[in-house]
Amino acid sequence: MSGQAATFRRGIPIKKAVGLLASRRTALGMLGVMGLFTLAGAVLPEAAATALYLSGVFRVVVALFVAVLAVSLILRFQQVQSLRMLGSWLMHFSVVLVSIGAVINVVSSKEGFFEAIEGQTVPLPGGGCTLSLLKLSPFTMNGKMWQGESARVRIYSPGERDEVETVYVHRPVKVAGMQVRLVKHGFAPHLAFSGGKDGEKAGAYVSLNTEFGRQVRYWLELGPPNFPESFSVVFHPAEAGPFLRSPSMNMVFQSDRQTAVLRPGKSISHGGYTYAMGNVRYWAQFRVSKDPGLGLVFTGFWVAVAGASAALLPRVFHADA
Amino acid sequence: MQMLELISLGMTLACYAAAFILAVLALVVKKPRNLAPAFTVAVVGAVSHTISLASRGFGFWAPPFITYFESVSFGSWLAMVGLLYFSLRRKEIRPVLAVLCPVLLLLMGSAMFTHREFEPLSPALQSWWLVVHILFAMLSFACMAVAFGIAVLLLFFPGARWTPSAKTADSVIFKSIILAFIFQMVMLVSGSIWANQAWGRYWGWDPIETFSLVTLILFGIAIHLRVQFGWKGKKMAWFAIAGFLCTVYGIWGVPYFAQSIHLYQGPMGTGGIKP
Repeated sequence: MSGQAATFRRGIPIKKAVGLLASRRTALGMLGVMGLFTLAGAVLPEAAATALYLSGVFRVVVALFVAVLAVSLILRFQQVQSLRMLGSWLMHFSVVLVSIGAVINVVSSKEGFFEAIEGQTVPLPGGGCTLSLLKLSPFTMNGKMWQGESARVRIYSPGERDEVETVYVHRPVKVAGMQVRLVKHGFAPHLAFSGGKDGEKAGAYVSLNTEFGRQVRYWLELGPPNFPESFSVVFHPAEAGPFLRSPSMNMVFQSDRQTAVLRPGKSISHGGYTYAMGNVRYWAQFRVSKDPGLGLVFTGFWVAVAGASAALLPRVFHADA
Repeated sequence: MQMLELISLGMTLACYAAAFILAVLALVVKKPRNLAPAFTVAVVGAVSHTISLASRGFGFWAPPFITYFESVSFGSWLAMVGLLYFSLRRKEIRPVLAVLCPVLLLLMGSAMFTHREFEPLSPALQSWWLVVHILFAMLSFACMAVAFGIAVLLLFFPGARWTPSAKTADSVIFKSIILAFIFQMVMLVSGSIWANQAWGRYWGWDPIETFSLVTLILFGIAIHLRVQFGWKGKKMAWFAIAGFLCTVYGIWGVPYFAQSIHLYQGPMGTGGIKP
């Protein structure tokens, strides 16, 4: 008897809690709180807004909001008796879908960047696959549009895949469940040196960053251990006219601030070493990402649109909405 | 083509200004029937506006809502066409011209001082999602502009003979909020898909994204309050005004106050340099 009474006493708060979670006022209040958080994030400086959205408080608020919706959806599913009600149910259900997808992404998404010079083969994160950058097509003006930024790549996985594909800046390729997309490209002139007491000789393609081809010169600090002396470089893809017609490289040596201009086929001497500029290739940066919750998020988005249309559009076309 | 665009744009501004003056005169002399000239001039302005946008679109062979200036112009055109369409069906909405014309003039006038040159689209922007994304943002703005005009009449001129009846005003405001909510949702969804393609992420708490979400939540709250709790009339009118201000700030205001990844074509051109 006393045990039954205890169960009864415990049952009341649970019922109350469920009732509170399923209440429309609670849901609306939570929506208001979410709105305030979003508003705060919109007006705060970027760093503060990021901190806000990564904070535990915000996560608790989102979790509570989703819990309110989930309880409400479960309890109200049996009340769905018309297309309009189904639309409303789906619209709210979509928030749960998007939230679950977002949580999956936060917990298990992966992201990485790598660079490759034309002709270079690099291993992809996760192991097993390699990507060879065959040729990069930078953008060119086609009429009034920039077009054509793409990279021809060979994706090789022993025994599974050996394909040549084109990666565009907004069209990734899928490799082993990951998306590989072209992020940016730049020029990589070859810089070689020789000389010194031991007749040292080495060279390397030097990555010079560009932002979508608009910025055609970029400082890059170079120095030991790759080269005998520290120097800065400004690369000019062209002095005038189309890219790569007449590339040149301005070098400033840090030791004595001496400057020199390098061109393909010409060499300069400094500090007992001879420097020469070779051919120019492109390099490209790729982003590799894996977002397992993405499908759920996008499904949720479309469910939201479909639900909103089914629930609300009839009211627009109804005379007494 | 550029000359045609300029001439038609100038004519548009002149017509909207004339429509505003004629509408105010008609309302001051308390003869709402005299709104017909204002309506006709506004129609001429809208036709001229259409020519201006078409000449720009065909001139650069790109949708005429890519740059900051173009989006303001296109959004204003949609708002005016929407108002004229509803005014044809319900004549009592015509006094909204007296509210909407100065707002659109102000928006377009301020946009005239921004970077107006067309700039080629960078590869990240070359997607059909761009058209869907911006088009639905502008549709959302147009709906809220009409709702804003009616809300102003309802709130600030409640006893005037020419103010639309409370029932009509309430119905148009609520329907506008519903449409704006759906359009805003499609805008956010298409933007997310496009962002995932172009930048590799579907959501980044960027200021413009975040403010669009604020606006969507505001519309959501308004719809819930109406459907669940029966809020009507002036309460919904205040929501319409808040929704309109949020929409305008979210689309065109944020670039003036915050750095955003959206600013390929900000008020000062590519790069979105702060004004």
